[in-house]
Amino acid sequence: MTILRRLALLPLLVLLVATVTFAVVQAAPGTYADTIDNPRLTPAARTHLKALYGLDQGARGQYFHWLGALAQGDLGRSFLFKQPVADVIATALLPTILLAGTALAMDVILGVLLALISARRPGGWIDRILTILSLGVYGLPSFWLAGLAILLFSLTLGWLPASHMASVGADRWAAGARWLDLVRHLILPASILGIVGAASTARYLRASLLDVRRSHHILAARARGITESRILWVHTLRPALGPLVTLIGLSLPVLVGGSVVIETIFSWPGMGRIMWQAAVARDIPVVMGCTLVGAVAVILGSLVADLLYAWADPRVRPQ
Amino acid sequence: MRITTGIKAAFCFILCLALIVSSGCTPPTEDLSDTLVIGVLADIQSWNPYLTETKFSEDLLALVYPSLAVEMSDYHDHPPTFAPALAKSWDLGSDGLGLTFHLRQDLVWNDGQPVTADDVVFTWKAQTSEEVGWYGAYTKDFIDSVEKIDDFTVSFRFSQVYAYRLMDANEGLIIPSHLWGKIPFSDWHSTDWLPHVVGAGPFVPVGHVPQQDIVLGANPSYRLGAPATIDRVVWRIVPDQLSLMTQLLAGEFDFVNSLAPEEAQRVEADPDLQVVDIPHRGYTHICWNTTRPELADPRVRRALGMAINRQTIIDTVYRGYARPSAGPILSTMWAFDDSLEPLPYDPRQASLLLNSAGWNDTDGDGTLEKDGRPLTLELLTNAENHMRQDICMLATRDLRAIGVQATPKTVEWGTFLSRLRDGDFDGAVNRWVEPTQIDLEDVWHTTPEALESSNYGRYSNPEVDRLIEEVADVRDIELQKELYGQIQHLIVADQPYTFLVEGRKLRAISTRVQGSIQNDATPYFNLEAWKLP
Amino acid sequence: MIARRRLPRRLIAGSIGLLMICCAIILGPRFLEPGPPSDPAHSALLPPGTMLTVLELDDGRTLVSPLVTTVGNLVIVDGPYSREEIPATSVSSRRVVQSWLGTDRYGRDLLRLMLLGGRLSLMIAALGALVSLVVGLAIGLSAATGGRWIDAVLMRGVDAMMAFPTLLLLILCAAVLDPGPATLVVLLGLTSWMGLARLVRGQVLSVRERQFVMAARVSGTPWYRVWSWHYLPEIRGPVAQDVALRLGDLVLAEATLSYLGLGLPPTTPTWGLLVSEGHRVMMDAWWPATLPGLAIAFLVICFALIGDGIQEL
Repeated sequence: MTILRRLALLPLLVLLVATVTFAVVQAAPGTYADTIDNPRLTPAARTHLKALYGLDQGARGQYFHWLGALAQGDLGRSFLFKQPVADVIATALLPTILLAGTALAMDVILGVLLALISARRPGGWIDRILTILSLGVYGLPSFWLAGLAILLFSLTLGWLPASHMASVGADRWAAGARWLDLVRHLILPASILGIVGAASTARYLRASLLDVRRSHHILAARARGITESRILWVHTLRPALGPLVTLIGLSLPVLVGGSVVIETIFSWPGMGRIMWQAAVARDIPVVMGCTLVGAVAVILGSLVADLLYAWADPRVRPQ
Repeated sequence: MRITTGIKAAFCFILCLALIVSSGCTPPTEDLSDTLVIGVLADIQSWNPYLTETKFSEDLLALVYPSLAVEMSDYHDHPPTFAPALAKSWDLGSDGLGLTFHLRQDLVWNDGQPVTADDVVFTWKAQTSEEVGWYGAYTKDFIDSVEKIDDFTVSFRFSQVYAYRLMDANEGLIIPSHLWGKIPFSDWHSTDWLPHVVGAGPFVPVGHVPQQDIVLGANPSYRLGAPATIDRVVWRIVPDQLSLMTQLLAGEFDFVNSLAPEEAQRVEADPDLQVVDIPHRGYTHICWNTTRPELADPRVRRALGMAINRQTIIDTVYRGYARPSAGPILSTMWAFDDSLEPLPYDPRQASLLLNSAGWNDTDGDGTLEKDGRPLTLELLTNAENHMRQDICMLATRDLRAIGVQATPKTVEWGTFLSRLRDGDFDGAVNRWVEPTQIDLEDVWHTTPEALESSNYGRYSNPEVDRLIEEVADVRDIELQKELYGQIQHLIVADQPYTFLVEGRKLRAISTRVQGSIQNDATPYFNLEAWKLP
Repeated sequence: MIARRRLPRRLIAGSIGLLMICCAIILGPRFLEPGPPSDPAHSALLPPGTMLTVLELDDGRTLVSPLVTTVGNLVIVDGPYSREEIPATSVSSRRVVQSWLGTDRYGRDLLRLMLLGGRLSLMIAALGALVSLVVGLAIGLSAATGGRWIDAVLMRGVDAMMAFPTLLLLILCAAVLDPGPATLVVLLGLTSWMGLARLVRGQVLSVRERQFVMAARVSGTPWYRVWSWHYLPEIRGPVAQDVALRLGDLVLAEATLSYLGLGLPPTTPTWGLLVSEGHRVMMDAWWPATLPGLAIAFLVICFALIGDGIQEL
């Protein structure tokens, strides 16, 4: 399908996803007014709040109300954060991109390196050790790793901060010091996401590399006398990148959706956390807003993935 | 072996990483001697006190905006008294329906304007506005009007005489009418309030990074007392409890309001921290659904209560920071009937009671049956609260020991409330946090539908109903005490709840902080008087 | 004579590991003596290797404690947070058991929990992966071989499915439906087949364009033969790889869901639930979180090694 056609379908798909999400949210028991955890809130007050937020209108009424606002570019107001949804998401977008971007970069670079080193001599010592190590890191639950990392690097060693994007009082520092501070705060959460992702990436890529290595044109290249390293980089890596590239393209939703667990533990104000808080509190406008952004990201991401796949593996072209 | 490009690249990458890490590892110097850092689990919702619903928002905003009077934490012997704040004195009119406040004349807002009676009147209008939709508007139900007598005198008129007129009139923070009056109520929900914040409290907002930090600074024009001794107070929002604890123990926080009992030991062991435990106005209980045939008999409910070992719960879940709960009114309240004893732990007696109610283990399989049906109960609680989950597990274990087929069930918070309202439960482990104003009607009065009340178990006792209605009209404290005593005895005899424990609130405070008064009104009760070395 | 191909080392290593776990899970509980009921007051959070004394009393209670001393005619039962004195005459039986891996916050023996929980964890992961495999294969193959329109529609369907906020769905489904094993399996399976579908489609598409495959298709070879001779060998490796890693992923996903409170109820221990419960007490006791965590990691490593091994076949 041509790129243009797929882009044209984008709004339709996004709307479809949004509608189904709306239905699911409505089906869940309880509304925002019910989830407020303030002991002084009487049931009568909750009923009043429900009316205030338009939650007593019934699913269809609320849906069309939301749709109508959306058509005018208004994403609505968040029940939980008391701000326009657009503001909530905008504030959360940068931290998410920062964290996931760094994690993705670490993921790819480390993963490619690990895979190359492993594939150099498959079955050798280094290969085995790297495999076990990377799989071990991958196999431990991320929240456990995060907890351990905080206990080790923050509490015991005191090297890295345990949460937030900036230190206390950092707003009073010079720009250079603030940047460094941001990097310090980024290291732990991005590393956990990146290293775990790298382990998985390395697995896929290693298998892919070995697969390509065994194919005929590699033997032919060797027979022609091309150096081993050039074979590795040029002739093996590029075709093997196919599945990997798909993987990266599909990482776009994680980029936007954030990782709830890591963001909660490290108090990173990203979209994953916002989405989670909104879902638990039944903050429908924010849930819908995040869904929209996420859906657009995913569909664009898969488009990019397909394009990259075609570039990497000349045998496949987008139809 | 030739070093391939791959290996070279690997080394480069690792080197880069090491450089970044090492550059980031040198902690920058920050002088925190004038800054107090507090760790909290959630952010405030808004800078406008009438748009928020969470207790934390209320507690923090109380440091920025003034109130007429300050409620004292002396409810142990009598209903709470009030200390003057914005209002230097007040008096009830001769008919008791009027309450006149005389305001101080020296209080100013941050922008220099004086705080006057106009602000009080405007506040009341905002509190009762439908467009604003403040959840606490029900506290103003009995107030007919609020009028300005002169610049520093305000008069409240009530529709009836009752015990809590001062408390209800005082409810809510005073907001600046000269600024906020310009914004129509219909726009309040779509305004960004931080730029409009003008207060008269001991602190002023200095910065707010949403979901990350809230910074308040000392208010130089504070008149109700000495200006705050601490220049800056920073609230750091850390939503994960483990992370919060780690940073507390690493010395990052000077104060943490919510400490779990199992963390208290570690905090005590830390030489730079101390644990403060204060009475908490909450009691955890199991609410029984009295409409279920198995639970309709008070003997059965009593037996279930006696089968549960409260001491184990206090020891393991609360680590000793709790006491058994005896009845619907907290043991720390003035209206508590001292003659009430918590239910004893007596599984044998519980079994006998169940037998007398017709539940016997006829086939020797370890489960009690009646008319061929086994006694199966599902104990519901919500997933987010670990302590309640633990209590649920312990309770079901105890119940199984006497032959009840009890199973614990955890659901998500929204679902939990939903099921409670719909009556879709057998027993629910829940906690009530009681206000200082005693109101038994919501929970204990008969209601045909629980939709608008908290009587989830559909408990109904006409005698209790009558007494609750009667005590609402009584103003004499001794008579109130007597009536409340009767109500408590009736409810305890009926056991619609199994009253479990009254936990204590635990806070961690750094040893470098001096002069803090800790009570259960608000965690920041006299924050302006806290001192750092 | 046909030379026997040696099985890849990874495959062997992974399979052995998996076999060990399965044996332990299936046979283990049989060798473990029926354990005492838990006694959180006296035996919570005890380190691995503690010797526990089990006292059965006349009134039906059972006390389990690491420290039991007899002074005169009183038996003193000491626990981490409480202390009880019982008349020696009310003790009907007394024995000593070893807690190999320690106890959790409720006083339950961790080894028992892990053996019992492993079964559930594996089952959920396996069934979830099966659902994922079936749906992914079906959609991927159909998209690749069905022609342009079907491909377009199905792939946009995949896009839409992937665009769903999975976490949100899981939260809401956990709220609406009963969070039992069956629901979890279906949810995990239905939210993880998309990657496989795309992978299968990509691989089959790349094969289709090859000369000899096109020749086979044009020359009227029946579709099942084309599939089994050309497509299946091509996708076998990546699919097996994906399934192997998927299995590991699902075990981890179950752990994360438990941490967020969306998993199974706390009475049915799975490894993921054990890790998330242990996470809460990680500062005081490392074993309730670490040991099940290592078990999960071991399982994931085995699955991945098997996947790699299949790839090398």
